Amino acid sequence: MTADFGCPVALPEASQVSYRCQSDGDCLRGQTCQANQCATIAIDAAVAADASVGDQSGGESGRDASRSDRAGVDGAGDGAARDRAEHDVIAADRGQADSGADGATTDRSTTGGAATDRASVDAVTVDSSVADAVTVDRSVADTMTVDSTLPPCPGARPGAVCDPADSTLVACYTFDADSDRVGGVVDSSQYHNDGTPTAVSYVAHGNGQALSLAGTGYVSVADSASLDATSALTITACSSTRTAITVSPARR
Amino acid sequence: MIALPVVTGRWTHIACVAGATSMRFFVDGVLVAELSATTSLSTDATDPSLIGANSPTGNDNFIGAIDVLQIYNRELDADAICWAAQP
Repeated sequence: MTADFGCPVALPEASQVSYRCQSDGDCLRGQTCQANQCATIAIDAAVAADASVGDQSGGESGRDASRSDRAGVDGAGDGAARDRAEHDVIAADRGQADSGADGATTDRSTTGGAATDRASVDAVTVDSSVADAVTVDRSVADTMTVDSTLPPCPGARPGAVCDPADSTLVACYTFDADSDRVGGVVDSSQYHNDGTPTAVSYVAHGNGQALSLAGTGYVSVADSASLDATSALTITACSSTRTAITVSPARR
Repeated sequence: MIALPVVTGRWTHIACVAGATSMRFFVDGVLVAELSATTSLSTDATDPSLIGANSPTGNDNFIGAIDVLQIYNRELDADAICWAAQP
């Protein structure tokens, strides 16, 4: 309970509570000590009698605890005000644990009600944590706004850019300066359709390099059966063009 | 002939999907054009393929930069194109 709602005071279990007062000074303001049990002044006799019965069922261990509390207060040698201040905390604890026990519980239930109110305040704290979660969501939305130039993309991203296990990927060029390039352009697909560059250069892009063409260069890839698409073909690339790109349905 | 909506000087993902009856063009993962095919795919067995120019002449050269060029012998669907366009 303390952990869930952040209560500063650990509330005792109901079985551990058996506080017995010795005088009015041991009770909360507006209460009197009747038959070793704190009760409101306005409480009727019948309820007080019930309270007395309830008190007599209290355990010895609780009584010892009560004496211990009193000893602490008495040792200070102060007046009832300090006693009450200390017992306010004790009574609050008791009130939380004793709900619905007996007549004296009428008072405790009031205190218990206060505890309930405190729980409500704690609930507000919980609500604010939800609001924090909304804030997190909003930050995510901001991130999405940053990436809004790209459309949402369903499905999981499958592995590497050039997957040599994909038999339908017949050529894949990253143009990176890996050890295999050796002046050529390496095809990282399983078909090794490497290319021969003419009048090209390379520029940094992302984590590697990109092919740069100034208007006269190209990369020639020798004919291969793997490149003879007969029914379908897909070509994708990242490009930064210096001129417009036009397309027509004519095929070569 | 149509112009693709690309911004010069900006890195853009471009995809061309050629099927039996049409050619579809994607820019940054979004379908921007679909044209009816007028001829079938060529299976010329001798000419090389050129990156950055028309084959076999080497003319009509591309001016700019190219990265991560992929060629598939199948039609990628829109989801796959969209995925490929992600940074």
